[in-house]
Amino acid sequence: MLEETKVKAASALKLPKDVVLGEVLISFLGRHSVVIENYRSIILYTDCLIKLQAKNCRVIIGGSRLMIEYYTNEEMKINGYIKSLEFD
Amino acid sequence: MLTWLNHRFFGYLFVEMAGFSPERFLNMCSVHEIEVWEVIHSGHTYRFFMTVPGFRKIKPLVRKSKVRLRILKKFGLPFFLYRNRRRKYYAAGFLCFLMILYALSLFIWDIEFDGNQMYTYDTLLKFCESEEIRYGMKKSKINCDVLEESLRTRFPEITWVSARVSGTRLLVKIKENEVLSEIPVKDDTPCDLIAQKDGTITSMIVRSGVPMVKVGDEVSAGQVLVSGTLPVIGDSEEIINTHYVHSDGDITARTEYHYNRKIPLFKTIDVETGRVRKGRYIKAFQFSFLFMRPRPDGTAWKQTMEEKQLHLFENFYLPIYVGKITGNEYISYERPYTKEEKKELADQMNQSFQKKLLEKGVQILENHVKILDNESLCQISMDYVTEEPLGRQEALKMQTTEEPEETNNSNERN
Repeated sequence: MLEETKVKAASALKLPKDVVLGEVLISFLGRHSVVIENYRSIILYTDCLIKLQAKNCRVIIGGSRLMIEYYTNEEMKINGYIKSLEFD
Repeated sequence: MLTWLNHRFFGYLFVEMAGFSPERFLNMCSVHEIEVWEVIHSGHTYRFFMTVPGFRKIKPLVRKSKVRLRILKKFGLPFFLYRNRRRKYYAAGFLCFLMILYALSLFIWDIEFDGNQMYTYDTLLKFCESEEIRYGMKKSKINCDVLEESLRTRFPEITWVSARVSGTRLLVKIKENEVLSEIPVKDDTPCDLIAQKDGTITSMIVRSGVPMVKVGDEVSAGQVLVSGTLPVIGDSEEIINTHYVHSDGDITARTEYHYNRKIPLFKTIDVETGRVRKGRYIKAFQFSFLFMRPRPDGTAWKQTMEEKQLHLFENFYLPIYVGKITGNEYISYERPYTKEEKKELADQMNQSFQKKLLEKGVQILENHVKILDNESLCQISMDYVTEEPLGRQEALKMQTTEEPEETNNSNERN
């Protein structure tokens, strides 16, 4: 119920949803680097698969030679050969 | 850049991690705000970089996540200092370097003037030296306001000065007055017009004064052409009074110029052999050191030098100069002038004299160049027939009996 109100309020006031709702924000730079904001934690990290927990979904990045260039509480940058991005 | 410096200053580690749940460890690092970067998964281990302050805090996290850490490599200033802790003279040298640099930064090593057109660099530098501002003086002794003030008072054409000390340089910016500062006053003092050269008068327009010669007359240098003395003759043909005026007129005369130049019969020619000798030198205060191969005996070299002052940044000049020397070997021999060369030389001389005459406002009517050969030397004689304005103002001596009021009246009448 509260979540719905929040969504409505955010769209009515035209506020950015990633800020208000804490949704995950993913931006690609070509196929070699991706920046993921608003994630919660790392579930799995290998050089061909990275699984991240976001607020209400999981993000799965597949590829090869994946490397976390840096990560902080909110933001993570992944470099490597990215093949897929899935939500779970 | 700031993070880069931070990492280097506090040191950072390249760590290998293996164990039960590496992801949990990474998550806990981000929660505890421990900086971790460039995480690579290879085989069964993870490798990443982390800061030294971060590494000190991770012991409980390691226990919780049941991983094992191994330091592979250490980077940064703390480890560098530790590795070189026995090199005392190294540290002393480094400190010395910093101290010398600081000491050098207390003095002025370059003075620059900008915007001066009328006054040369040397003039301004000499003035600065007279004001006790010189190369190599202490920076703290310079008072820019006083220097600006004194520059303005000493050089009236300078309308705006800004002096500032930047690094080890004294920068003086100058704006000069572009219009005339004073209007030339019309000269009204009584005077004669006097011929400055021998010649024959070709035209004469006299605006004030008594003409003493006429067109066609031959005059010699020093002769009075127009007299500024106006005698007032009474009825009985005796001089009652004398008025003095500022004589003025346009007089042109036909004049002649003769030039004679002697040139030796033989000409010295330097031919470069193509051999080049290069060297460098370094100069600091009164010491200088030259790096150059010695000159082989019996050879002659023409040398050119380029000098540069060392500076660290744009404005941190040091009292050290480095220079490049390039020497070109040459052989000189003598041979007589050829006819063409003589002619060319005569032409050149002729051109330069003509230019000089034209600059003086002389019109050239005739121009003869002769080359006279002799056994011992060669002579080039040039004769010009010219027309030029004649008449130089010369103050005349007034007789003491003259009363000044009357002179003024006569001036008005004329």
